[in-house]
Amino acid sequence: MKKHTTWVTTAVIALLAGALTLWGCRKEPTTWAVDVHLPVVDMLLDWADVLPADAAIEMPPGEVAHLVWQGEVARLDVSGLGQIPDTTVANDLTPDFVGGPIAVPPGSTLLDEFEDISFDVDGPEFRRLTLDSGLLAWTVESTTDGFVRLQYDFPGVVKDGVPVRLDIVLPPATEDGGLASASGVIDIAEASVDFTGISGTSRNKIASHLIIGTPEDISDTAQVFGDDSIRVAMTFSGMKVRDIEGYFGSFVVDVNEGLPLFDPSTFPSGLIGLSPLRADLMLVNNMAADLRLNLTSLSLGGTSIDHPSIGQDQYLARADWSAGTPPVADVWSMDLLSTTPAFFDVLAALPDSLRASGELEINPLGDVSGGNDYFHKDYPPLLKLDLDVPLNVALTDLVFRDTLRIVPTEVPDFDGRLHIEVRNGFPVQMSLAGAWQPSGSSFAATLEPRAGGAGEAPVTTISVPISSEELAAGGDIQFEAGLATAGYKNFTGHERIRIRVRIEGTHNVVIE
Amino acid sequence: MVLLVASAFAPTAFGQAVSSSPSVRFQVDSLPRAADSGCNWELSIQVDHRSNAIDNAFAATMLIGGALSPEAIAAARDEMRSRGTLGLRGNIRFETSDLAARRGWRIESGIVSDVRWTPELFDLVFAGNAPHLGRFDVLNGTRGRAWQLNTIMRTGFWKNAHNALHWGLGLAHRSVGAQGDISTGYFWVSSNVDTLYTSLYGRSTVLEAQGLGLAGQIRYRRTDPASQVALTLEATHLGALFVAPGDVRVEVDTVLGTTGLPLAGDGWSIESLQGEGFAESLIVRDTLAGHFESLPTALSGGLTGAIIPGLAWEVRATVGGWRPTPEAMAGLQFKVGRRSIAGIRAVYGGWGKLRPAIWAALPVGQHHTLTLYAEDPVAAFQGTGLGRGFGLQLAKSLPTGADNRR
Repeated sequence: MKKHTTWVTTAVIALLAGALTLWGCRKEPTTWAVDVHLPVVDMLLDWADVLPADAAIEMPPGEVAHLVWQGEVARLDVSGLGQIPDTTVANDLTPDFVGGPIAVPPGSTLLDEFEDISFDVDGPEFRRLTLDSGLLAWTVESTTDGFVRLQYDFPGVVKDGVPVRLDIVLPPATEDGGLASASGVIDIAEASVDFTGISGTSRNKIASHLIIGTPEDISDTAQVFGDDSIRVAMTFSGMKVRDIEGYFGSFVVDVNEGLPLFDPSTFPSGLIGLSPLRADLMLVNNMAADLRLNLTSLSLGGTSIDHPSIGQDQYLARADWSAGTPPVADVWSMDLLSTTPAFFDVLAALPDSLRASGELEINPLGDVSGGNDYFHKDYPPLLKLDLDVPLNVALTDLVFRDTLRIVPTEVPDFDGRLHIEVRNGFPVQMSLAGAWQPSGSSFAATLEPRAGGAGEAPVTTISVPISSEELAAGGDIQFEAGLATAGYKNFTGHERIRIRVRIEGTHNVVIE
Repeated sequence: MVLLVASAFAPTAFGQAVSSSPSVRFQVDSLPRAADSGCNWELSIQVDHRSNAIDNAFAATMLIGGALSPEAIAAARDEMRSRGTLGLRGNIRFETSDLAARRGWRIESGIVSDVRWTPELFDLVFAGNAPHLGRFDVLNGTRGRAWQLNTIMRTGFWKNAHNALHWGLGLAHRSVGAQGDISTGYFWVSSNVDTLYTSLYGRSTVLEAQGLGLAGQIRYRRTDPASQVALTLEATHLGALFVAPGDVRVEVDTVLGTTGLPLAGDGWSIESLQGEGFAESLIVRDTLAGHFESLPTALSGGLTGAIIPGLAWEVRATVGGWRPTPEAMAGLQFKVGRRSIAGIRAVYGGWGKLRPAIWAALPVGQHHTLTLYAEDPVAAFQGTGLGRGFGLQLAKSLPTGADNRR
């Protein structure tokens, strides 16, 4: 019997040991290799990718396509307009008797006073404004031996439809001479501010109403001495206006606007030949205030451009805001096709910037509107460009350099290639060369131009080896493209480059 | 062997024949026989994993670690036909029976699992898509599920000269589990790698909410005295569980047809793929309400008959119990010595292919019987074997009377 029992026990233990051996412990990762072939990227590059979003390609029948663009190139800085200085108003209130104490029962009013808070604005006379941002910091101190209630109303400062109000109850001051105090900050961003004061006809003033007394709901009777005091300080700070009304005053703003054009590090060499039909540089006055513009210089890169209007005063009438936004603006324009030297001849050599200098005067004729100037920060005076350029373009050895940043990507145990297939639909020959640093991989290819008519776009395939190490290291792909046309070429506006990328390689799957 | 031997593993038919078919000649006088009174018990342990494609070396590498060679992956792929299957089961069971009162108890605890997949999914996971460019890979029907299931039953039986009925009724409890499936799924990459189409609708749930319900089983046996053939019909794991609310089901339902993605932009783009939370955006999480789930019911029917004294045949067919295909068994039983019986079997279906099995019922002293079972015993210790299955059963029974011995 014992022999049999031992045999059974041994069998059970062996069975359990076998199961544990199979499933019990994991010694190393499980790995295997899979071959992956996947399309990854399919993208089109066309005119929309290189033109401003609001540009249009117009294609008159039977003619060459035109690039038409009327867009903003700069916003004139009039940030000085509507700057409200930080302003503090302080009240130090003392009883008009000596000695004491005098018992002040609950619910008594000690002070009830309306007061204008004046803002030290030199020149302008503002009537109303809306704040984008601003803070109202307050501090209250009391030496009174009793609860004090303070109510400070600003009926002209309305936020979310409700006038701003400070309503606090101060506890009694301590017996050893310490102050009872409180302080805080009220965010007045988005508030509408009436700057006409208590009378409703003043300028640069905010009405306030201060009431000091003892709270009704606290039965404790305050004991007031003649040397007690209650100090209240309010500070308006950081006020930035969204829109503002009134008379802005007359002042001059320097104009020194630069528009980046061709970055030499991106376009180191080459020529672009263009023959625009229309090219106007415009100043648009969106303010309800008169302007005077005097451009003293215009330059493309290092080349000065002369024009009959340079050095001449140009007056722009105030915009009409009576119908709301957008306002009906007065516009002054300069024909860039009438410059000396020819503006687009200079532009062909890839200047790095267009720069305009001069001065802009607000209200050059004084307060001609009777204090009805208006400015909205989203509608400052603008410099705009109005272009109509036939897409008959010559590219001569134009070199374009850029760096494509590769974000480090963890694709463990991958070894393969990226196949980049490019279909060039532009009648432009392109040579591409690139190097991936720090991996050291490089590629070079020439993209033949698409022939005219409905012919197929020539296809070029570039193969770039990639590995887990390279992807994990990330880095930069520095590439250079050389572009050239055989003389002036007509573009239809339908040209595009299709880039398709597929990945092929072996991924070693690892299961920890 | 006692009357209440259940069908948890192969020697069941043998046990039933012993207990209720005295007319089967070789069994009548050679083995311990159930008495009409007294208290018997039975303890059995079974572990089994079986696949029609994943061999032991492959499974061991997945579980223990190591490199899966292309040859091993190709071999597994070659074994598959319309789909791959893998089942893993293990349980421990204890039964008692009071023969006088014809009542007993049955307690069982174990795991049951079933995984099945399409060959195309296997290829995508283990070989990649490069070998089937231009081919539509169908992922539909891939599913996996695993339960930890416990049952406790009150059992009873009735018999006369030629018929025996055995039943059980009790509680079932599922403590934990997991299940998931791909209802529809396709993957296709064109032969020149310029177009990809994939769709996937799949669900996955970790079953953490407790399930509690009723479980039953029933077995009927009839012996034809003229032909000496015994018929056994059996149903196990009848019943259903009520699963408490709270399980979180993760659902993915997405379609992507593309010739490549743009580098940037909303929706599908290289930029958004690399961004945080993109995968999460494809997932819908749903907290399940309380619901019923049926137990993994299995139905079987078997025949046992004598050929000559000391030699008998047996056949059995089983469906259900999450088996992906019906399981068929045919075998021979033969007497070894005065008190032992052994058998060989051919088993086909279930989770695996055709495989042999052996078993032996050995007396342990005068009051106990030890039954051992091994499925595909030689291949079980080889890397190329498609699974392992072992069972061990120890039962207390009354000694056989001298008048029954040959």
